[in-house]
Formats: sequence, C-alpha cells, structure tokens
Amino acid sequence: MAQEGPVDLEEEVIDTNYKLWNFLGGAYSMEIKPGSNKLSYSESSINMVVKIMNNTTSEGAQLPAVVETQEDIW
Amino acid sequence: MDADDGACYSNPFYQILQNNSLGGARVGLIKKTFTHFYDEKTGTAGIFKDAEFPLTNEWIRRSTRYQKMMRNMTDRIWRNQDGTPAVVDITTDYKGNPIEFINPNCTRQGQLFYKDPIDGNCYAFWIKKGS
Repeated sequence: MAQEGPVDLEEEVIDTNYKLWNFLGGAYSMEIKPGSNKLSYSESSINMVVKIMNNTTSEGAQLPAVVETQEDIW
Repeated sequence: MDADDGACYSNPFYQILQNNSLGGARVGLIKKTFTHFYDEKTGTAGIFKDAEFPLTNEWIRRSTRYQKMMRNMTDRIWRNQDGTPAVVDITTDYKGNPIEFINPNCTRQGQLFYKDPIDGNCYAFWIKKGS
C-alpha cells in the first residue's frame, strides 16, 4: 500500500529528448480533446517535444538576425 | 533480434520533423522506405524496401519492447555544435517568449495535467522557473 505523507523530491536535469518526453507525460500523456470533457490518452507528449525542439535554443547561442531554419537556432 | 515481417520502427520526433520539412508535400507518418546501395570495391549492391512505423505513445504503453526502443532512440544528451553539452531552457522559445506546453484545450485554469503511470491517477503539474 502506498505511504502517504511528505516525499523526497529528486531533482533531475532534462537534457535528452527522452527525459523531456517523460516530463510531458511520456507514453501516458493525456489531454482533453475537443468535444469531450474527459481526460484521455494522447500523443501530445510526442508533439510537444517536437514543438520544443523546433523553438528552443541553447543558452548563450549567437542567433543570426533573421532566423529562417532550424539550423539557425541550433 | 525479432522478425517483423518487413517492418521497421523509427523515432517519432524525427518523423514529424521530416514531415514539417516537406511543407505542402507532407505525407502520412507511416512510410515505405526504399534504399539502394552499392560497394564499388567488391562490385556488390543491394536494395531493400520496408514499411516504416514511427513509435506512438499507444504502442509504447502496450509493450516493454517499444519502451526500450524509445529509450534507445531518444535518450541522447543534447549537445552544441562543438560537442559540448547544451543547456536549454525549455520554458521559453529562442525569442524569449514562454512556450505553451499543452494545447489550451487540455488545461483548466492554467493547470496542466498528466497521468501517473504507477497509480493511474491524474495530477496537475507546474513549471517553476528561476529556482
């Protein structure tokens, strides 16, 4: 039986796509789909990882004045 | 190694990125891979064709085999172009704007939800910045 009460939280750095996918729910990610008011399993964690891959960049990166491709925000 | 009768599996992130790069010519996620190669030293050549399936959350939930595949495909440390580990702030985009983590239809009063795979309950989580 699960023990109730305070738990020790471990801090983990997200530095891989796998960890990011798990952070967003992994295989068990859920969403409320339009027209429904119930949470159901979805592919949202996969889509969100791609969205983040496409839009983030590493700290201190020197970006060109105009960002046109994913290569520009490596 | 397991036999899959002409099927192979691919990284789902890569499949979506590849489709995005095709713009108006985007296709479905399941593909038919066709490869041809040759070795000029030995004069040999080969050709193969198979069905390529990107892993999905639904499949991964049902099989430890797919869980392992997903980990092997995607658990690679982010690196800069010079090979050093990259430090990435996943809460903002490259312009500094906050990233919306889940479709607005999936939130209630700003809360995001996830399902704990162990006890099956739904929980909300928050992203704390600057701690």
